[in-house]
Amino acid sequence: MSSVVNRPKYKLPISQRVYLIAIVKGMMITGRHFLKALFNPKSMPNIGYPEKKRKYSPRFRGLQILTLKANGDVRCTACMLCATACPADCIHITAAEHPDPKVEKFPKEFNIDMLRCVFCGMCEEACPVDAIRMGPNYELASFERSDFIFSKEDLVRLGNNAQSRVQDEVTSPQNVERLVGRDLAPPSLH
Amino acid sequence: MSDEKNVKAVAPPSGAVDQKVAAPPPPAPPKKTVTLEINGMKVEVEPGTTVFNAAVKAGIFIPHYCYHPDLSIAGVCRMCMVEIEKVPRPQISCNTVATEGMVVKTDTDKIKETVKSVLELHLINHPLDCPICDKAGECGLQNFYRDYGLYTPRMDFEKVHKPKVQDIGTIVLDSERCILCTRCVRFTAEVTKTSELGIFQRGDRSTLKIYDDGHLRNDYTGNLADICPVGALTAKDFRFQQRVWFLEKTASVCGLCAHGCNIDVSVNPKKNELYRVEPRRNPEVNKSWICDDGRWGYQYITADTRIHLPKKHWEGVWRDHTWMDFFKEMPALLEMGKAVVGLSTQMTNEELFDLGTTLKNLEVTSVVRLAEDEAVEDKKPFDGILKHRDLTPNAAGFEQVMKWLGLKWLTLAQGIAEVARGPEWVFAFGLEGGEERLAHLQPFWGAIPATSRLAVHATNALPVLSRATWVLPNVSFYEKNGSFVSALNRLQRVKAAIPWQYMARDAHAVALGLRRGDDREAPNSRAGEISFQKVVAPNTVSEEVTFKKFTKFGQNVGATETLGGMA
Repeated sequence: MSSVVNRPKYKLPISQRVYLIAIVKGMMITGRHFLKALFNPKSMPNIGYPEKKRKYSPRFRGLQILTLKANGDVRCTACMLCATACPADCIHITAAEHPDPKVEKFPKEFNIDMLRCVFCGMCEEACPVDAIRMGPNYELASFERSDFIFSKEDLVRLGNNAQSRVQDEVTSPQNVERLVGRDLAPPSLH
Repeated sequence: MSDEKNVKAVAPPSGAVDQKVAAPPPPAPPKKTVTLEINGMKVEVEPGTTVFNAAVKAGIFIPHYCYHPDLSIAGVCRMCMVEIEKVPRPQISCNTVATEGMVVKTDTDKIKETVKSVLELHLINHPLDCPICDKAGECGLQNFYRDYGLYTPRMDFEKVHKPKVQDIGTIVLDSERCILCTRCVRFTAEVTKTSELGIFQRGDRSTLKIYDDGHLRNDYTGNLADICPVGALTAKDFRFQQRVWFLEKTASVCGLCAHGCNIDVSVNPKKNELYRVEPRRNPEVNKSWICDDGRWGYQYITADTRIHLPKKHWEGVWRDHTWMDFFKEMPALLEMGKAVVGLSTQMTNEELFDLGTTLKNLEVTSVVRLAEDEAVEDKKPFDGILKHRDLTPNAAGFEQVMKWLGLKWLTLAQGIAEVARGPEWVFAFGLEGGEERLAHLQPFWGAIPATSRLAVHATNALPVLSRATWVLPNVSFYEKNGSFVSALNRLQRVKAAIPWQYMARDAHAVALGLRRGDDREAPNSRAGEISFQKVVAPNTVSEEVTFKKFTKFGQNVGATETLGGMA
């Protein structure tokens, strides 16, 4: 009982057996692009990153940011809803007692493991005080794994970069009305 | 009458059944019950039972805030409204006594509307700071709003503000969140009889406050955080530590004193970290309460003094060792007549049985019970509520296990005399907790002459360990499976809430190591459960009581004690 299957031999046509024709065809494409890039660089889709950066849509959702209250404190109250909603289990918050009894609770530590994050946006959706948002930043590179664990300060700094956009969206009354409806003023607990 | 006798009376041996069938039926006793109808279901209850409790018996849930099974009835929250036939308006079920032929309805549209309105009133001045409130996730307001509320708020005015974050000792009081159910006021008045809390002012300015702006001064303050249906009273120890929905509860028994209060141990399963201990209601042991020592006494399991590795002090040098080294050395050390072995009554029955059997096989004659003799004799709580002088959980179980084994043992006083004679080795097994909890062993340690060598199996570092030769890490009762017999002679199950920590081994592993000379690697083995079924259960619990049923509330064994103070 033989398990060898005899298949009919397929013979390539002569045009394919001689590879030269295909190589010349390919080199022509390469040469065409080379000459185009040399004499008419504007027609190429590439940009000179990182000197030049592409403009993303204002609705782009990248790395998380932490928003601030008017007095400069983080808005987050350490309610842990983002950590609960997070499917990747990448948000680690340590809550603590705030000296101001009106604030009561605040995040002593707020770490996001960006390597675990899947950028699903559930944290942003779960947040009852609009403290965490998916921001406009998309650059995420480092030589150390530990650098990808973003602390509270890192997230606030990312937020400051995007501050103008956040401020506009949170404070403009039209936006508030459009985004969250009549009853809900911009979130504030006290 | 003990439960054991009860069970035997219900199921007689099969030979006796025929005779009973032939006997004439006994005359029917005069009817001493009241029958009422709730939601079309006939419920038979004893006279004097409230409609609420009749509904509980029928398995019908009625929303409530102020009612608590172990406190007096206040009838202030108005949530438990039910419709009673021939009564024009809805009545509160918690304070209405069931009468013969009463027809009660709890699920009509009228009742749903009523509960919704009452809830709306409760929430008028509630601050709704759920994101920062520790009660969120187990809050009565959240749960009932989901089940009965779901209305659009109509409150357009500024809410009444009251003092927040008030430090009243072990508890933080937030008057603004309070719904004035007075459970805490009744608790301090009825259970601890210290009456620190009260409702001040009237109307919407009614405020829960502590008298003289002082502090709570009873030993049961933690229960206030449990019974508060909202987030007005939160425990400092647990405050902001963890969200409740991350925690898993394990039903166990407190091992910090001889009363054997039923507890729920909450652990975050992701981190295997113990976050809080709460009472589990057992009407015959601790009702719904535990003392603060039992609630917040768990810190020793993560304290810096916790012993992590077996250590040997030899020729002036401390060295880390493995358990194997100890097991190889040990059986030779335990030779007859040369060693005194102290067994702590903090070990479970199964551990004591396992270790006792091994010691018997090794022909050890001097076994000492490491518990305070006078405190063990004192079977009643000294404060009339729950706290015992005996801080070890299983002194009664020790006596029974030794009786089954036929192993002779010495009391601590006799043991002190024994070690003073200067044996070659002194062993102490199964010690738990720090110096304060084991203060009763000071005379025992003091009596050991300098010529004797000492091996101690304990959870935490003790001053005496500086002169010990072997120091062995023990597991705490939060990490053990087994059973305790409380001072009330109640056999109850202990369940492991967290796995063994560090290199700690329980007495099962030690006994196995002594028998076989190897270290069992498997953490939290099922040895406790297996020996419970094999050893403890047949000796004390009648066969009709299933293991599953037993685990919930425990069972009386031996002579039944009346429950001092709590009955």
